[in-house]
Amino acid sequence: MAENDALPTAEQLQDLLLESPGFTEFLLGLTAISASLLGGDTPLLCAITVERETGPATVASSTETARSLDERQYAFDDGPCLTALREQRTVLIRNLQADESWAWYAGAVADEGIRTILAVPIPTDNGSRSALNCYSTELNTFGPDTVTAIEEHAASLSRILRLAIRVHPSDPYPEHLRSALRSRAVVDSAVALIMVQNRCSHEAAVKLLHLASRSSNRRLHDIAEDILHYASDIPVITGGGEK
Amino acid sequence: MMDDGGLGTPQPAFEADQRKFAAAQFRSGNISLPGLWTYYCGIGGNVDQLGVEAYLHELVELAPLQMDLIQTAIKEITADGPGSAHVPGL
Repeated sequence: MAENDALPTAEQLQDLLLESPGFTEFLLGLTAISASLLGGDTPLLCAITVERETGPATVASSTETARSLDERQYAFDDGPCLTALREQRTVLIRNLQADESWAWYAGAVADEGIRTILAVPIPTDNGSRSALNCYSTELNTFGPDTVTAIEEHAASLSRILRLAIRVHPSDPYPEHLRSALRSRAVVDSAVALIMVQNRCSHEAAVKLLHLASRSSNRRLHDIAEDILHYASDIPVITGGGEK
Repeated sequence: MMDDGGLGTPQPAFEADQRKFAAAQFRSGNISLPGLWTYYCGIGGNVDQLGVEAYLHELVELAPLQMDLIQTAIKEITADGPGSAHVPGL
């Protein structure tokens, strides 16, 4: 890998920032650029983690595997990526399986087939910290030249990342919270429907929904969605009271 | 509290056992508390995060329905795989 090839152009990065609707999307685009520029013969899994003073950390990954590798470090509150992030230094694990100091992490991610890890901090402003993490299934992926190239690549992301952090203030309602609210709206509507139909209390309706989910071994949310979906099949109750 | 028609998940007989069971599942399931609470809230749970945390540390009792919902949330999250905490409907 020639060093220059691993550096994205400023235009490329600016376009990404302009085109991304939110910070998460921007970070996702950035990991995709990193993965495509840094990946040589063997594909590299890339993830970028950004921790801000306020709000939760954002993790963006080029693949699902990289995402789960990163998230597991958060579950343990320790790991190569978090070390790079918090201590702002490069962490290279040449051989994950043979490295005693990371044995616990090797055990935790044994199912992913990762052999070697490189985590490089991306310099950002005070108050936020960021790191680029590369995972590979091939030993010897990270030779001295590659490490230097990846460090330069990470440094080249610094400016645009600092801009992105300013442009996109941390989201007070992250996606998982919004999707929880959407899910809750569906559940609440289904509960209301059950209450009307069965003339029962709110609690009894939630119980019924829960029971239906458990006995059919399906997700509660899916059952609620079905109930709403088939609501039009319920015979109309005609009341004379209206009008 | 309710009969469980011989389904997949083993259901403990008493509420104290259910709490212990949920706490153990939570610990072994590698789930984050905010992730669990958000999910639980998304399927209709009404206890706040502090209450759920206290419950999982076996400090307080909750209403039977809330305990059931927490257990369902844990079950559905762990069905997604460890570390995952996304909410249905995505």
